[in-house]
This record gives sequence, structure tokens and C-alpha cells, in this order.
Amino acid sequence: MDKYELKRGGFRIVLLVALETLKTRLLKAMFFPIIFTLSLIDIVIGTLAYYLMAIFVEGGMNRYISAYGITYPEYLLVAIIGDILAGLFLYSFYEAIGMGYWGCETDLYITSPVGLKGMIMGSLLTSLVWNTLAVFTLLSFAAILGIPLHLENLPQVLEVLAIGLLPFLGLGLISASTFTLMNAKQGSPITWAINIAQRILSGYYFPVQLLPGFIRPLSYILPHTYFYEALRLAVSKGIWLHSYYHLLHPLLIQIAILLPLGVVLFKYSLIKAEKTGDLSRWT
Amino acid sequence: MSKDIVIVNNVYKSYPKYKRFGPGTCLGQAHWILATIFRMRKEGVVEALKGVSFRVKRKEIFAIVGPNGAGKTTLVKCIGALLLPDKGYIEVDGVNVVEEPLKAKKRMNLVGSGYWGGFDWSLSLEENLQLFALLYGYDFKEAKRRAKEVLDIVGLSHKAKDNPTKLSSGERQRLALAKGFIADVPLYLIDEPTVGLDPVFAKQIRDYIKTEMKKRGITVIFTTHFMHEAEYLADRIAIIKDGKIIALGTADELKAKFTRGKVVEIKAYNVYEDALNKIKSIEDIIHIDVFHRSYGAETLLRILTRNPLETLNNVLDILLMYSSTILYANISEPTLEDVYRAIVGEEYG
Amino acid sequence: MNLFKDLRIVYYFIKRYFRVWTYFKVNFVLELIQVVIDLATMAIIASAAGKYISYMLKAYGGDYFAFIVLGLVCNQLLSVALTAPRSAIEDAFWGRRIEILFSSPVNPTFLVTAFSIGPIVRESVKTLIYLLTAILLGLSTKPLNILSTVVFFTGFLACMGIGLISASTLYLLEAKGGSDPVNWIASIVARLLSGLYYPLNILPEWCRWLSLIVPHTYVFDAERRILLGSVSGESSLPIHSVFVALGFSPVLADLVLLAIYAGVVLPLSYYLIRKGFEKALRDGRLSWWS
Repeated sequence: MDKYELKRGGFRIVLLVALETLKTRLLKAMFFPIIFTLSLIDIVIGTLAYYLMAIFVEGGMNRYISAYGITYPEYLLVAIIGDILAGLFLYSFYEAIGMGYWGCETDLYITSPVGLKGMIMGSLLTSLVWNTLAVFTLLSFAAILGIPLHLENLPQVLEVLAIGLLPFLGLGLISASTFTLMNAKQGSPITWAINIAQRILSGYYFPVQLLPGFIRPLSYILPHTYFYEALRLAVSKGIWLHSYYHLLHPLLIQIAILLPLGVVLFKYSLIKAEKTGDLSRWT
Repeated sequence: MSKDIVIVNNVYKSYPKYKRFGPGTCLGQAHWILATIFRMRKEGVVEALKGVSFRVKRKEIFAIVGPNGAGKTTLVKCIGALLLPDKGYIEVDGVNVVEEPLKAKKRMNLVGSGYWGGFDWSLSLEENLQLFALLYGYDFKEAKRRAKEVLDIVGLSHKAKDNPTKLSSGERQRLALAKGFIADVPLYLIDEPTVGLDPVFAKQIRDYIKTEMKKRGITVIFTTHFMHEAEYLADRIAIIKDGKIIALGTADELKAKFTRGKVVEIKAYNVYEDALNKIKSIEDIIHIDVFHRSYGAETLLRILTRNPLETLNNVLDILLMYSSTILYANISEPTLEDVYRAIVGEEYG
Repeated sequence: MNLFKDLRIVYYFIKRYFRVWTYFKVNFVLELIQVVIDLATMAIIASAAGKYISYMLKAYGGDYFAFIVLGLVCNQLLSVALTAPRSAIEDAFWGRRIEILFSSPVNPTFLVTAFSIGPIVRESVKTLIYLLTAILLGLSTKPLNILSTVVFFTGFLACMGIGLISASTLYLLEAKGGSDPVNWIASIVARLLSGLYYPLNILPEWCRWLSLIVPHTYVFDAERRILLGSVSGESSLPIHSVFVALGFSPVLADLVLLAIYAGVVLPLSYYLIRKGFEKALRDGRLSWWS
């Protein structure tokens, strides 16, 4: 065996590097506990603004969401939390590459035998911790405001998350590949475009039925539409996703298309970056 | 008009050292809370300048040399009104720099070194230089003309429409110099003019400073680590160490004052630690530099000594005693670098 | 100060800002599309819920879509006044340009103001798109008049003052982590309590008193009354009652309060930003890299 071969198995090293990256990023973020708290407060403030708006328009909006059996503020809150969870996969891969690049860390990993895998995994774990904390904060905030959390429907919600988040994983990988394939170093245009579209088309603020007829078909392209719908039905009525075919099937089709496409594009983007040096900042 | 364009009188400058709140140097959101609520604690001060005084004559080329952390950049920034001294007086072309900084800045141009030199990646080289010209009060037409002219001088006119991200590090340094040449001012402050430049272009820049700027009657104050550059360019040199000027004069004056000796140069194979320790203990030696090609192989000794012949004999005896092979030996006049090392106390090897 | 020379410098900064803004073409287009989409979203909510809540917007004419649009349009420009000075300095600071710019013979406070004009022009472009989109979606207001212009301009100056105070904290408080206490508090209050998305009468009394600390509250109230409702009419801010008792209309009360606000905050901001730069020059912290 070549004396320079890594003494331990490949995946173990990657995991160790990932955990080290996670530790570094969390230490940085949490060293000033006040920063961390302020960032969580910012999320709460943002949600509170929408919550107050929702309270204001509740009288008019409740009639359109009566099928869910929840009030308009609850309707909006489910979308906000769903968006944060979807964002975990949608933004994390791009952020992993972006933070590494702009933080001048990619050179360090690229020139090591481990490559970028550890850094990407570590970033994902960091996003997972952060997003979980953000969701937990919002749920606590909701509980304080007296919004019912429907914890008895937790298994149904978990099922929705397990299936419903997979299309976002594919989209997230596609979005991350744009960093090198489209030289999109100031934010992925794909994620941005999807984010803009989902705010109006996916039932985030209001049911899709309120959209003008000519643009309603567009909402059925987005995974968000099915995800938010499934999440609301699971939260409010405890409906299992696997029993709701008209939500399950489109999600499965999107998973079948987006996930492999995302993996292929992401891998290709990293190979291309190796050849062109796009991820190196050493000039 | 005074014959001195820059007067620095008894300038003191210290930086407060604050308690760090954690690893790294990023000052986050929390810092303002901690700083205001708990009052940022000063842990002490770093004294960068301790009573520095000197004058620079008009049309003079003046070098400031010193080791890292000596206070060179602090001094240049104080003169350039980018730092407020704690005590003392600085005058540029008759203007008090501390009391009238904007008026003083009209009389000088600061050329920094470093990664970007302050250039904007979104503007082309030409546009960046035009902006600097506008900042100095020129109109659009004049700014355009000057930008073209200085790009020619630094050999970057073929890249006028490119943006700074496309330049190599040497080209960025040239661009920083171009920025310096953009305005018609009587004083230039240049921080390390040839750092990062290849030898050919470094010589061109030095020649430009020595001839063109001299011809135009511009006073130049520059900092450098290269003693041969200071010796070649400067009319007078100030050596600064630990915030104080420890030597000031022409190159010849400094050599005469601080060396009073000659340099014994010996190249040999297999010069070992024991031999070196014995050599270092010879009495007449003022300063010794040891340059190893690789340890135990070819070694160059440069010995500044008051008694060159006796030192030469003693060193050769020691080397032969330790079975070194002598390649050549020579006695020569000390260079400014020898003077610098003797004064600053740096030793190599 | 030579005005033409200064305007040339401002031109270059605006040119540079627009170059950066439009450098990533796709992002630039998406940003403009987002303006349209955000407005369309509000239009749908307003059309769905508007007629059931119009009674709560009596002072402002009752049209929720118009209420929201005016709020968003004013907020767009007021927010940029709040953030532009600080982000301009931060941009130069982290871009390693600040020292070389400050070594030139141009007043630093002028430089900060000049840097800020680019973002203001940018937001003005977006505001125009907002308005055009809103008109296409059925926005109907009274025509703009001198009073509404004066109110807005005064509010803008007040926000600019807060923005300069926020910028001064970069050096006075070493608040370089992307946020500072002034901006943070102002933006939270503006977002939650100034009446941007909903009228203040749905908030408890103490929140309404708190809303008075940001200029946005007065601007939103006055502009909506002038362009949608009526200049006189019932009070919506707690402080109105004092002025109404003296015979002033709520709009005039808003204008007077804004003028006092701007009159206090602007000179204070210029003083603080000068102090900030002096501290930076004394401590050697003007630039991150020496």
C-alpha cells in the first residue's frame, strides 16, 4: 500500500471532517450568544409582522380556508414553517459551496486528500441545526400566542416531511450546481426564481383557487404547492399523505425527476470546477 | 515657501488594545451590546510611534526603512492624515495636517500596496483612475486624459478596459502606482513601491521615481524593505525601529556613522554549528549574517567587523579546524543592508 | 465645495453602483420581477379580504390594496434612507477601498452621502415599477400634491438622519457585524408597529405609543390620509389628540412632528458621524487592513 494512502477508511474521514466543519461553524455562530439570539429574534419578528397582518385580514380570508378547519394565522404559520424546512435542502447546498468559496476555505479542502465532501456535509449539518432551532423557536412562539400546535398529528406531519422534502433536495442540488455551471456566485437564480414564484403560486399566502385562472396551472409545477397543502392537511386534520393520492403522486413524480437530475448536475459541476479551478480563490 | 515640505515634530501614536471577546477577529452584532453595556475594556496600548521627528526637504526622495511592526506604515498614515497622532505636530507644505486634513490632502497623494490598492472591481482600470482624478478635483476631460497617461507610464494601457480582478498581483501594484501618479501634487507617499513586481518592472518604476519625479520636482516619501532600493533611490534614509527613528542621513553618512568597519565575506562547504558558535564569539565582529544553501553544504558568511584582516585570519583558522572547505574569501565595503542589520540587530542563519 | 466637481464624483459613484447592481443580469431581472410578484400577491389578498375589513380603514379611504401599496411604496424609499449610509461605508470597508477614498481631499461626510445616492436611485427605480404595477392592478389614489411631497421629503430626511446615526455606530460602537442597535430597533419598530401592513388601531395602546419613535409611522399615516382618505378626520396616532385639541388636523400634526424629528436627528447624525470618523482615525480602525 502506498505510504501516503489514508490510513482510515474514506467515509470515516469525510464524516470527521464534516463534524469538524460543523463544530467550527457552530462555534463561530454561537460564540457570541447574543448574535445567535438576535438572529432567532429576527425570525420571530418577521413572523410576528405576518401574523399581525393575518389577524387583520382574518375576517376576510377565513371563508376561503374553511376546508382546513384552521384560522388564517395558523394557515400562514404552517407555510412559514414549511418554507423554513424546505429551505434546509433548497438553500443549504448552495450555501455550503458559497460559504466555502467566499470564506476562502475551498482551497484548503480541495488541496487535501478528502476534497469538498466533508465541507459540504458539515455545512448541511450546520443548516440542519440552525433550521431546527428556527422551527422550534417559531413553534414556541406560536404556543405562547395560543395557536394550537396539533401535536397529536405529529406522525402524519413527519410522513409529509419525509416524502415532501425530497423534491427540494433535488432542487437544492440543481441550485448548488449553478455556482460553477452558471458562474452564479451571488446567489442562485434558480432558487431565487422558485422562491419568487412560490410566494404567489403555491398557496403560501392564500389558497391556489384565488389565483386568476390563466396562471393557476403554473402552481401545479411547484413542489411547494403539494408540500404546503399536505402539511396543512396533516397538521389540521391528521390526514396521511400516503392516503391522499392527488398530493402524493405529483410529489413522487417530482422526486423521480428532480433528485437524479440534481445529483448528476451537482456531481458534474464539481468535476467541472476541478478542471477550471472555479472554486479556488488562490490567484 | 519653506524649504521643508514635510515637518514631523515629536509625534506620538499609540493604538488601544481591546480585550478580545473570542477567537478570530470578526466583530459581530453582539460586540456593540458588550461594548456599550459592559464598556469595552482596554487591555493596554501598543506604542507605534514614540516621539518621531524629522524634516523632508522639497524635491527630496526620502526613504523610511525598518523591520515589520516598526511603525513605518503608521508614520506614513499620520503624514497622510489617515491617522490622528496622539501628540506632536505634522505639517505638509505649510498646512497643519491634524487641524486641516482636507487642505493637506490636496497637497499629497497616498499610494498603498496590498491586494486591491483600493480599486473597485466593478469599474475598469481606466474608470477607477478617472474616479481618483475626479476626487482630486479634475474635470471629466482632464481625468480621462490623466488616466490614459498614467496607464501608459505603468505599462497597463493594453488593459485599460479590464477590471482589476483580471490583473496579476504585480499588475495590481502597478495600478496602485498609477493611482499615485494621477494627481499633480508636490508630495507622494508611497508604501512599498516595488513589492510584488518582477525585477525588470521594479527597475522601471525605480528609474521613473528617480528621474521623472525628480525632473518634475516632486517630493517622494516611501517605505521599503529593500535596502538596495533605498540606497539607489533615496537622497536620505530614516531607519525606524520600535517607533523611534534610530538613524537618519544619506546612505554614505549612515555607512560611515554606523559601521566603521568592513565586510569579510567567506563562502565555504560544511560549516557546522560548532564552528559558527566559535566564530560568533570573535571580539571585533560587529554583526554576522549566515546564509545556508542547505545545512552543512554551501554557506555564505558576511561578517561586519572593525578589524577585517585579523577577523579574516581567525575565521579561516576556525573553519579549517572544523574541516570546512573554503571556496572563496573577500573583504569589501559594507552595504546599506549591512548597516541596517547592524543597527536593527537582525541576524540571519 | 465646488458643486460641479462634487456632482461629477456623485455621478461616478452612481455609475459604479448601477454597474454592480446590473452585473449579474439574471439576478437584476429577478429582483425587478420580485417587485411585481410581491405586489400581485398583496393585490390578491386585498381583493379577497378587502371588502370585509374596509370598515377598519375608514380614515384611509377603505381600500386595503391602496392602503398596502402606499405603505410599501413609502417604506421602500424610507428603508433605503435608513440603510444606505451604513451599507455604503461597510461596502467600502470590506471592499478595502475606504482608506484610499479617505486619503483623497474630499470631505468624508460628503463621501458617505455620495455613496448613499446609488441605493436611493435604485430603490426609486423599483418604486416606480411598484407604482406602475399597482396602477395596472387597479390602484386608485388622489393626485400627488405639494403637501404629500413635503411630508414624504421630510420623512425621508428624518430617516436619512437615523441612517447616518446607524452608520456612525460602525466606528463609535465597532458594530461591524452587519447590524447595529439603531438600525435594528428602527427596522423592527417600522416593520411591526408603523402601520405598514395594517392600521395601528388593531394594536394595543402601548404599541401605538412605541410606533411614534420611527418616522415611518407619521409618513404612512399622512400619505394615506392625503392620497386616499381625508386630511382631517379621526385621529389614528395617540399623539394626534394633543394637536387636534389645538386645532391642527392629523396630517398637519404628522408634518410638524416629522419636521421636529428631522430637525433634531439630522444635525445629531452629522455630529455623530464626524465623531465616528475621528475615533476611527485616532484608533487606527478606519480600515480592517493596515
